[in-house]
Amino acid sequence: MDAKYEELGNNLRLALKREDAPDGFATRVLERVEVRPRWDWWPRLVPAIALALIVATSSAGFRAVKQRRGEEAREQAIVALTLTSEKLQMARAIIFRHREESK
Amino acid sequence: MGVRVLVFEKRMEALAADSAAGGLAATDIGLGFESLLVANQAMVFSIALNFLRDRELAAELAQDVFLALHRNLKSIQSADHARHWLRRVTSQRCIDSTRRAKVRGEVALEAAWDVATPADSADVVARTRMARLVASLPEKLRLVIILRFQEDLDVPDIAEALGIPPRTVRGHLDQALELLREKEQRWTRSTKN
Repeated sequence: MDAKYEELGNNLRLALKREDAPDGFATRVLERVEVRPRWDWWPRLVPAIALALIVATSSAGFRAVKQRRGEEAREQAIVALTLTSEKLQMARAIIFRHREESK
Repeated sequence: MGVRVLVFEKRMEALAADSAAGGLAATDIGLGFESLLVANQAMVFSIALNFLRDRELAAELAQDVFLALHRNLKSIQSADHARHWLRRVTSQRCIDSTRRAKVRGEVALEAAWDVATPADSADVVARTRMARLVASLPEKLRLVIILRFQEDLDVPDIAEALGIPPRTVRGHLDQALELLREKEQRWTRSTKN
């Protein structure tokens, strides 16, 4: 700093000297910090939410697979029953024909 | 909450003197946010007070700055980092608050500021006059002067705190000192006449 500002600088240092914050300042800040709603808890819920989502999706998937397999089994059973019924019809027809011929 | 505040008040009494003298390293105390608050409250409050010349507004602004620090505590790496952060945010908020005040049409700085009474000592009168001259400076020049002479920062540190190039800070500083010198001379001449 220039010599011409030397005295001015000293006066400024005196005039702008730090002052203590008002009494109870820090306590008031602390109270406001504690009163303020805290939103820092939600990251702790992320793993739980993720786990719940995984369980929900996998159980839904499991149910869907189970249902699909059930439907497939039902269809197969119907086909099998239809085939059996046709075979029985054919056997009945043959037996009936043999009876008619033997008369 | 009450117990925590009481414990904190005890710590605060022990640390308050050091705080006013120039600040404590939070890592030395190991108290986290509370220690940063105690160590830097005088600095933040004084920057705001010297800028705004209003104790209530300064206290309010300083509280908001510390609440912002609390919200950003995870990004603070050290006591030094916190001090720089607080200086930068306080400076920004000082400028913002005067802009908002202008918009709201509040009372001008000089009009709102208590002038020293004749009963005060010559030293107090001189200090009050000087502080008043600083308050009459344009915002950015005022802030540069406060950071230079209250905080004893050099040009690069002021540049960092205000987010402007060091050359601009040097220009602001020269301009502010010249303005203050002129105002002081004018005041001296007017009192002699």
